[in-house]
Amino acid sequence: MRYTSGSVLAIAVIWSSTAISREVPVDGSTSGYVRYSSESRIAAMETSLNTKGATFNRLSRSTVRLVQNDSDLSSIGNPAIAPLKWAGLLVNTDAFEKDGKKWSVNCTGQFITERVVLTAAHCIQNDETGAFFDLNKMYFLLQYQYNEFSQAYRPICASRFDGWRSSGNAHLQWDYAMILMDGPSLTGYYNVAVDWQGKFSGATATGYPGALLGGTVIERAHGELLSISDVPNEFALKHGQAKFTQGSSGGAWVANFGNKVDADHNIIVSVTSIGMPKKPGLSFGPYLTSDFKRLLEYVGNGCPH
Amino acid sequence: MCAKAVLIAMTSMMMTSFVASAAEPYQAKVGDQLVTSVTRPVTRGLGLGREELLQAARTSQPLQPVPSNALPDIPSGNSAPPNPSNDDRR
Repeated sequence: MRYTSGSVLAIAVIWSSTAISREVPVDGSTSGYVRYSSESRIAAMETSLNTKGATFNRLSRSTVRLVQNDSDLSSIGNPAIAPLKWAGLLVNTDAFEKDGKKWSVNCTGQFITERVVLTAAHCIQNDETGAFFDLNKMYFLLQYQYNEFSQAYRPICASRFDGWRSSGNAHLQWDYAMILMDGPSLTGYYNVAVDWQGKFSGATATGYPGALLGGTVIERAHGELLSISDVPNEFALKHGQAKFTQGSSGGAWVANFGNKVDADHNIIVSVTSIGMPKKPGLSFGPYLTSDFKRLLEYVGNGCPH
Repeated sequence: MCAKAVLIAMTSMMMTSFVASAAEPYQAKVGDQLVTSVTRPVTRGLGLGREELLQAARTSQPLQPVPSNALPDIPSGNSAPPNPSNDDRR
């Protein structure tokens, strides 16, 4: 059964006046959800996604009104199938204190090997203070969507290049980090391309932008890859979605995005690093070089001293 | 004091010591670059439960720094058209 963003809006409008219970689409490009594992958590996740009308109904009426005002919800991704089933929400709990209350912060992450999650460097290290977030309070919630997730992971170690703390814009090329998790991905992992210039002209940004349904859904936004001549190893992705902002940090830019699981599809070429309020619809991310592969090997080996 | 009580007391002291010590960042050279890493002490407890994690996720704030230095102008050009073939190769 295929749904469109229009049907989502219709459902939201109807629900605003009377409670309903029906399936809510998450991805206009897919016709259903894939059964893929006997793992109980994954099965539970699938059930949850297929009955997310109930979850959707728990959203506040103000949120539903926001949905009604959203011109297009077709960017909402489906974390039950490839490639978004390899992604999740990275949460640093109790990351800072304000007005006597502790707050958590979030980013996007995704598996790039069986045990290693890729995210942005500023998602493991406080950009303002320079302090690393406490790994004891860091969790990766695989396939997070509509207040559900399939599996929670805890980090073993995390690493990023020291160039990230250098001055000037050149440090942006190092805004990625890798985290070795305490268990293998239950759903698989992405391909990664380094030194890819000349091979790909576009990519699909993915992540949990807070501006869309409060960051409860993973979004995807396709656009053109643009090199930035004045900043080394930095690219922009011109996807045109102004709401693809905070929360999408660390989310993969995926070339040949699709639900095929093979070497030719779902290839990470960068991750979202920064956005600029004056340039809505643009995300910036590092160009991955052979250093990326070396860091992956290092982290995969447990970040040895 | 019996040997069992002594053993329990010593184990407790060791656990307390481990738990109290925060993992310090450390550097290593990877290829030509320096990297800094942090490791999670393995003596911690089970961590947050499912409901606590969902609560943390719901109330968490999204991270994304705004650059302190202005980035240069972005080359002009039209956004890539919709990508029905999912083929981004040049």
